[in-house]
Amino acid sequence: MKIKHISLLIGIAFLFHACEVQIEDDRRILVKGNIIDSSNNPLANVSVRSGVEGTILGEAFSDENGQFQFTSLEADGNYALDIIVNLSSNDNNWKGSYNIEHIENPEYSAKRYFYNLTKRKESGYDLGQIILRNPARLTLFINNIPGDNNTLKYQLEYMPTICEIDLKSNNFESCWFNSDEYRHLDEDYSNIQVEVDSQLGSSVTFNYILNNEPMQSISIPLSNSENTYVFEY
Amino acid sequence: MFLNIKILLVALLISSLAMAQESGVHENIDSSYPQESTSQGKNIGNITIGPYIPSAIGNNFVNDGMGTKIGVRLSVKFIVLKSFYIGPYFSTFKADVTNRELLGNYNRTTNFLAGAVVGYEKRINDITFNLGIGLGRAIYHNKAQKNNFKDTAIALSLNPEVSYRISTYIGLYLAPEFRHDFMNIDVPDELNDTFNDVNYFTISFGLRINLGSAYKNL
Repeated sequence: MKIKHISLLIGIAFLFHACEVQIEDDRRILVKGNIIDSSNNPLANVSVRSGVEGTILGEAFSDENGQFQFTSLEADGNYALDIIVNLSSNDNNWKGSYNIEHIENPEYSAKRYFYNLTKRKESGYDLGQIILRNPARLTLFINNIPGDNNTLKYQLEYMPTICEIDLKSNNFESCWFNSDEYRHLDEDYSNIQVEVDSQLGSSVTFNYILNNEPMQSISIPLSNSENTYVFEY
Repeated sequence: MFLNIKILLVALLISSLAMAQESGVHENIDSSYPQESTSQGKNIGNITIGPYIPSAIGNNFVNDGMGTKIGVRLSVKFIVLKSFYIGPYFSTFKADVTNRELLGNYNRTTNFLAGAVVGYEKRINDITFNLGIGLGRAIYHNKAQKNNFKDTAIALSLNPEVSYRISTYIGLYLAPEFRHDFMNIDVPDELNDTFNDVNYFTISFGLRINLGSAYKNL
C-alpha cells in the first residue's frame, strides 16, 4: 500500500516535471529589430519579449531610435516560440489568445510573431522594421429593413490591432485577418452590431451575399480612431 | 568588490607580518636542530580550503552582465615526484544576473568547477611557494523564474600559491588565480565575443592542512 502511494507521488512529480518548459542548455539566440510608427518616426520604450508557454526567455525595450536587440534563451522541447511587441504577457495568453487589453501602450497597435516548429535551429530573428500604427475601431451596424425577408451572408477582412505573423513567412507585414466562414442572417436574426479592432489608415472589407446572389464587397476606410458604418439590406 | 579585496589583502599582509615575527623566535629555537632533520619528515601533500573571490575581466557575459559573489575553493595536492604535485581541485561561486538584455531572461547562476591541478612546490623555511596549472570542467547552473538550465565550459587556470606554516600540520595560504573558461554556448556570430570565453582573476585565501610530517622538525 505504501509503495503504491510512493509510486503515485513519483508519477505525479514526473508529470509536473514533464509539463514544465525545458530551457535548452548551452544556447542563446539574438532578437533584434527597429520599431517605427506609421509616419516613420522611431518609437522608444516599446516592449519586445520572446517566450514560450508563459515563460519569458528574453526581453528588451526599444531605445530612442526605435531599435532593440536582446539575447534570448531557447526552449528545449515541443514548444512554439512567440515574440511579442507592445504586449503584456502572462501564463494564459502565450498561445495567441491576446486581446486589446493586453496592449501595453494603447496608442499603438501590437504584433505577435510566432514560430510553431519545434527543435528550432535558428540562431536569431531579425524582425526588421516593425510598423506600429495607431489602433482604430469600426462599429458596423447591419440592419434588415423592416418588412423585407432577405437573407444575408457576410464576411470581414481586416488588419487586426494585434497583428499575428508567422516567422517562417517572408512578408512580416502580412497579417490580414479574415473570418473563414460566412455569418448567416435571416428574418429571425437580422439586426446586428459588429465591432472590429483594426489599425488606423487601413480599411475593412465587407464581403456579403444577399439572397444567394453573387458576392459583393464594400471597402470601409478607417480614417478615425472610432468609425461607424451602417449597412442596410 | 574591489574594496573588499583591498581590505582582505591588507588584513593578510598584517597577519603575515605578525606571524613572520613569531616565526623569527621559532627559528632561533629550532636552529639548534641539525639541518638534516628538515628532510626526515615525509611530505605527502596538503589540503587548502578557503573563500574564493572571482572577478571576471574583459568583455564577456560574466563581467558585463553578472555580479559575482564570494565562493569557496578546495584544493588537494599530493606530492608525486620530489616537489611535483597533482591533485583534485574544486571551486564554486554564485552570481546574480544584472543585464538580462545581454544574457537572457534568468536570475542567477551557481558556478562549479571540478578538475585537477599539477604543479611544482618550493619550500623556504616556513613559506612554501607553489605554481600549478589546472584543467577542469566548469558548469554554470542557471536559475530562471521557473526553470533551470546550464552552461558548460572547459576551464584552464594558472594557480600560483604562497603559504605560511603556523604549526606542523596547519598553515595559511594566499592563492591568486588566472582562469580562462572556454564556453560551450551556441550563439550567433554577433554574440561570439560575449559568450565564447570568460577570463577571471580570482583570489583565494584560508587554511592549509599539511599532510605528512615534513614540517615536524623545522
